[in-house]
Amino acid sequence: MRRAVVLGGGSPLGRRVRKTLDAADAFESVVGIERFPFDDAAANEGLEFLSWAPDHRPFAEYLLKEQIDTVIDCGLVADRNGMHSRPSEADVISTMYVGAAISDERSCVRSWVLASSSAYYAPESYMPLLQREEHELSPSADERATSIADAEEYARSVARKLPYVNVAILRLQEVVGGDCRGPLGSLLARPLVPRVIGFDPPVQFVHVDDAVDALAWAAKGERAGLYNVASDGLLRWGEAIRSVGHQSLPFLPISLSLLEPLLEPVFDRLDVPFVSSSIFALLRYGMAVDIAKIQTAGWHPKADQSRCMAALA
Amino acid sequence: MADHEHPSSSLNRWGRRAERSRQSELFMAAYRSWFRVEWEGLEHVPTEGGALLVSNHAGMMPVDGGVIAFGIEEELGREVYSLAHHGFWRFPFTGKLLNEIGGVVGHPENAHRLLKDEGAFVVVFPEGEKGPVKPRSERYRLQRFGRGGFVETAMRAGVPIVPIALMGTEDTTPVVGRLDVAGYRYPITLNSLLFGPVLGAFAHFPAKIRARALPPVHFDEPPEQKSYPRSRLMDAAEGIRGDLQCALDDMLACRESRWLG
Repeated sequence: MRRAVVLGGGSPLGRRVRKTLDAADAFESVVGIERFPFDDAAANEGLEFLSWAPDHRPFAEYLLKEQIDTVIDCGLVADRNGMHSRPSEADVISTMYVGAAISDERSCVRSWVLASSSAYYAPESYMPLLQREEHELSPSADERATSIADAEEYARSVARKLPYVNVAILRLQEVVGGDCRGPLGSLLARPLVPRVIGFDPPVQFVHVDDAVDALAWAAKGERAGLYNVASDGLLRWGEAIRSVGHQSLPFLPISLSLLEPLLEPVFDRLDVPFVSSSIFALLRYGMAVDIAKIQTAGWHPKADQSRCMAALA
Repeated sequence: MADHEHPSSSLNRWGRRAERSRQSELFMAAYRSWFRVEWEGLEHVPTEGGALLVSNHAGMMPVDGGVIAFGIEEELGREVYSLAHHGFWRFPFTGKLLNEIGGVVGHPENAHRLLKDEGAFVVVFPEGEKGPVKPRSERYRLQRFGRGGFVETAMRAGVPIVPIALMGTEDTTPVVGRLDVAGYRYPITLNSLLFGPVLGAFAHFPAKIRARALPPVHFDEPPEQKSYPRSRLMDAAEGIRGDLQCALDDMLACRESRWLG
């Protein structure tokens, strides 16, 4: 019987992954790991709290003591409130610590599933309709994409050096449903949804049930490799706004990237949606991924984009 | 109609409208009555499966893509997508409008999906931007066909190439000069000098357009290969360029008037 830990196990995504793996016969124990306890005591049930300071060793010792053989890392993309719009430096460092802990020669870990993000693909006018896993990091990639690329590259280097550890990297599209909501989902939740005048880009989401199912599929099957994950199909931004029954708020196609540090806190205080430069690029060019590789490997989404929109409506 | 009442399923995944838009209807009226497009050799266009349609390219807002796409759809009832420069998608409305009438960002992966996975027709102009900006003295003289990437796209998808020679399109927007701005080259047309840069981009002269589809070029190479021999690609590309040039020369020799055909 296998023993697993879910990093970021207190987040909406991590909790669902824990629950799914708990119900699977293959695992005798599934524990969620967080760095700090939640204020709500009920949310701390089934969680253990591990400090990463000063380095990866406390986590390496924990893996060894508990004879953990499977690590599902949701910490890079999921925070306590749902989904990051941008992984923090601490999240990327945590992912690197996981790799370092797994690399300990006494480690029993044989499967590491890293929940990554399709934010790796920078929206550009010259990109094809669907992004494939082998596309290289765009030269215009923003801080979010480069952070994700750094974490992924570290995981890949672990896979290269430790051939007996199966490293699966799942690039999740923006997760919607349950308590999960990313940058586009947050915009769609508003009664007036920003829309760049003259653009109607393709967008795509993954329903939280599909995201959890894909992570569990990779963990249970000890999969290795890099896979895009999205629910079936894609839709246009205008169609997404109509699907959730909201009105669009047209704005001129002018980026405020230079003023971003000044304007963002002001907009937040006024509770007005602020369109950052990375979201602005998404609202102009959009981004959808090709999931043929993971489908060929045996995982298929059960939800489609209309179900994703229903989860946001 | 309020914004949220629009039918949500009217666009396919490429952003194309299922039904003809007003712009399409307007173009079809011009196709029939202004340019009086006439086709020959349509029997060479496959009735099923994907095919890469390759043609000569010219003009400031070239009508050639529209003539081929709307013509094939009108005459054969098959959907055609046109690969266009990604720069159109950087500006408001242009990319969106192109999407709605079957325009797609010119990327080999987009072409492959359309040709192989969807069995569609895809129009490509291998001259690229060199076609529209070539000087008047070079009209109806085909420029080089890039590095033969279009042949590789067809080989990889396992579809034939159908060359289509267009005559008259270069006379709808005669190029009189060229503007180099920030690394991009723009043609200066007689239309833009007479009517201004905006109206001139759309006000085309009523030259008679003739389109001739040539026999399809099939390839023996297996599809889905990572790469193909450069010499084979170049041979095929140059062969197609030669066939198109011969067809254009023949059509020009038979033409009595650029306005009446």
